[in-house]
Amino acid sequence: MFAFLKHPVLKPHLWLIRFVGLLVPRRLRADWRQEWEAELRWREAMLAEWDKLSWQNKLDLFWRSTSAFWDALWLQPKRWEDEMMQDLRYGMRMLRKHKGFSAVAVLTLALGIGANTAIFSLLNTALLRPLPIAQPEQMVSISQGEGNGRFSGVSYPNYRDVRDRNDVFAGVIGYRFAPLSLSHDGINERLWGYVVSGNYFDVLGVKPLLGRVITPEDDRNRGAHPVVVLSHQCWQQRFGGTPSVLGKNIVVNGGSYTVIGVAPQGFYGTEVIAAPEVWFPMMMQAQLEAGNDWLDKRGVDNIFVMGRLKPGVNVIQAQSAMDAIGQQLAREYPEFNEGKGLKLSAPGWMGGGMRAPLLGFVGVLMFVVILVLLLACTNLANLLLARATERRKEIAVRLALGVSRFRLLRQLLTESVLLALGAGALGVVLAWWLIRLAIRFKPPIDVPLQIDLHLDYRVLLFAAGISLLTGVLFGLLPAWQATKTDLLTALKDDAAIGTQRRSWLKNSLIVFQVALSLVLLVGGGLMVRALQKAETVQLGFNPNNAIELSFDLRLQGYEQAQIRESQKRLLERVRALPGVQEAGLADLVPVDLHMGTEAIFIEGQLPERDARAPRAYSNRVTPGYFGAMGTRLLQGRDFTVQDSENAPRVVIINESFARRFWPGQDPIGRQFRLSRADAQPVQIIGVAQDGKYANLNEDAKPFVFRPLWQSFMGSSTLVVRSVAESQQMMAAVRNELQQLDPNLPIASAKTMVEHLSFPLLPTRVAASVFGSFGLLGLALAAIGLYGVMSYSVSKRIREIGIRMALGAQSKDVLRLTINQGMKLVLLGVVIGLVGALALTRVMKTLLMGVSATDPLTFVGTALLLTFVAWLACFLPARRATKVDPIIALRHD
Amino acid sequence: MGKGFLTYSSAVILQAVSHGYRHGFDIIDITGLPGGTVYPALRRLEDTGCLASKWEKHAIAQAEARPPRKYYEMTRVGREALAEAIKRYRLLELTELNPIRDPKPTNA
Repeated sequence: MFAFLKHPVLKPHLWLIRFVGLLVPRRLRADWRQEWEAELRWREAMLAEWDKLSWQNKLDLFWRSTSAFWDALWLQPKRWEDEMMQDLRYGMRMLRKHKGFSAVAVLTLALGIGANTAIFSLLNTALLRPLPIAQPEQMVSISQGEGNGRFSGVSYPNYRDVRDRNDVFAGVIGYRFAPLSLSHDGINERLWGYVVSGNYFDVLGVKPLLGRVITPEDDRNRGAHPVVVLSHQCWQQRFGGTPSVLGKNIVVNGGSYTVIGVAPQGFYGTEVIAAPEVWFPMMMQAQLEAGNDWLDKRGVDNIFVMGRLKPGVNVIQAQSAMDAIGQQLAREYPEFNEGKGLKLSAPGWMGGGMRAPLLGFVGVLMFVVILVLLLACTNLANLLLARATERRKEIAVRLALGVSRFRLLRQLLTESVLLALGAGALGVVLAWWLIRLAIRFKPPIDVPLQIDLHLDYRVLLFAAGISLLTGVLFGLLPAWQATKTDLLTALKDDAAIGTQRRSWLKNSLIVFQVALSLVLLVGGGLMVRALQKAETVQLGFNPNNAIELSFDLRLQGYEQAQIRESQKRLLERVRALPGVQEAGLADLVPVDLHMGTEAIFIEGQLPERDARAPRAYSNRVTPGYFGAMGTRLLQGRDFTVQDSENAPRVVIINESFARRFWPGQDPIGRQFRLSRADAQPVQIIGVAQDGKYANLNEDAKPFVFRPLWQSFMGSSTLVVRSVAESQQMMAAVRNELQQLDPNLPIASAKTMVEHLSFPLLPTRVAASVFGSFGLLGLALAAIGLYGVMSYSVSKRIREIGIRMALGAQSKDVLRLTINQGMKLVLLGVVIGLVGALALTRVMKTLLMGVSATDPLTFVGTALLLTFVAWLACFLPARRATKVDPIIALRHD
Repeated sequence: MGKGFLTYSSAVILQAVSHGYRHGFDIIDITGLPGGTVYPALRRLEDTGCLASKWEKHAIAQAEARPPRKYYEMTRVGREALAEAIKRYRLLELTELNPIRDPKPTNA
């Protein structure tokens, strides 16, 4: 068309333009080349004919053409943008086109990501979320050593010294939890509150929503300021959210307190996982905790202390200041502070003592969900591999047309990342749903736990991060494999040859999946066995048809004698209720981790003055307790009302106690001493059956029952056995307690069966997590195996056809195909069993005494998995036998 | 790219175009800026709507036996941006350029 094209003279500047033009995005390339060429040509024409040009002019032209390089470079980002958009559009189109594939891939991955996100949000809540106060990063917890590497609270006198002697903190606060009974408007409720130092709100920087907060003035003189600040939640739920609550008097633990203010919404105190509802000045402590005055006791390390670092002071400086004060205190009060020291840690329990156990529990959960994610990812990788094989033609054609491998990789990665991001979005929805489920579940413990799980930006970032990571990591390998195509064979449409090479990857993925899901299944199986075992455990009492209610008469400010009288009166009245078979009081009801031990001294038999004296669990009970619990007395008699504080000291022991100290002899009538070698001796009057006391997986332990009225305890649990329906019974007993004291708060009221659910809680949680994820893993592995097997069958149709044409029977074909899959499965099972053996040891504490290598579980789950895997192989194999040789041979 | 973000070289290039130096090479010549600056700047100005590009009529190019050249024209946005830039870069106010239609290369 143009004359100049007919004379392609070698002109360096024009060649440069052609060459540099390759850099320019294709969309712009033609225009770009023409623009530069036209300029250069025009300039050339202006100057003269090329042949007549001086070399300076030629150089100038060339120099100008080099500018094109910069121009082309500047256009690069556009090229990337273009290609990215292309990839995205293409990727979306491919995913939409293969709806089934996309749905399976997204769902699989979403399960993995959702589980991870949910568990991460738990971690986030307990460990990462800052306190709801101003500049939370300045806060540190100060704890006192117990001399054995453990750290606990600080005594009030020590707190005061730390507060007044340091120069590194802008303020040091003290707080403590207190169980409370609240009476207002004719209602008695039990709740938890804080007693706090006067500077608490000021140091935290918390301003009241209504009225005022506690000030140092409120905390100056003991018992002088009976005031209370309500949490926003308490104000809303218990006082209707009306401003008139200010100035109102409420009765707490028998004393009257004036409401002075309401804390702002979202402020729940100084522990992230607990949410007490009210705050009192610490100087009201003696009134709130009747009979437990600790403000002057340097040996009672029972308040939590936090400090706000002064600006410019770092934790190391503060710690060395605390070391100095710790040494001072040890010098001044060696009897209390020797060898203790003060230690700084991240604020709250989660920063200190509870961090390790919590991390352990969350660690196990995290481990499980990561296994699930890995499973989901291998499935995705497998799906992508199979897809890549299907797309060999497409890829080969594109490669043949000159698309670079890098470009193709990017395209394939874009697809897998798209999938992963889709799965991430769905996973977050799933996690949200899981969290909702978890929140509804309230653990049966008597602490105001607040597990405020929610999806904040950290959780969302986490979800986005793992989605991207899985998308890239698990998309890369299949994409790499896919683009390593041998063009010739691929284009010749002889698919069977090309697949051989990449089958090792697919096969190892299958082996890996089988192994992973077996580990999960074994974990779940062990937990289920543990639960089973727990149900058949010899409790030593009958949890059915019994209820228990705990209350603390000391909280009402009663004296010892009064309390004994009320307890006796209560028992009489409860026993008179219709349907009640027996009722008794106890200090603690098994199974309870708080069960304490006492030293045993037996004359003539054992070292009398030895700190290593044998110990036994002990409990204080009233007459009727054994009947109410359904614990059988094997020998001797039960306690009676006559075994009172003035009567001779008597005890009932259990079988293990008798076996241990008087093997083969009659223990009745024998004497020993409890707690101290010089204590008054006690006489054995009965032997009760063995049972479980502190937890369900303990071995048989020696146990001593003492009469409640010979060793005073204010707090107690009432156990009632009845033939009546438990809720009716509960209401009737509550009514009796109300009549005893209208203001008496009931700490807990539950059936014995509910009570038993607590020691089983960790095992239950672990069983459901492992079990459900194990089944999920099994399903994923089965799907993966099925996919691979049916794919390989479809690729071998011609071969199978030939075999059948040559006389192979159905069962030969069946064996051939199934063997191929089962070889992989069995390898996976072996690896999985080894892995499970190594990993299940970690769960020992949750296993209720079931061995971590329980052969039944291992063999059972391995068989189950093998069977499911066999099914996944069998279905495609059966299809292979249906092959008609004639059609198969024609199959291309 | 807002008007405030016009760089000095972009402003100079705009002014050159407004005075009738409409082809890339002419702008390089008249401003003395290197080609590696002028072309990217032209692309940016075109992207932001300060300039519009057009192709020369085929007939003209054909008569001279060369491909059609691309030339740039001011737009309304470009004129506003230039006026804004001149207020900031006072030197541009003083630089009077002679509007010419067909500049000859200086070293011809």
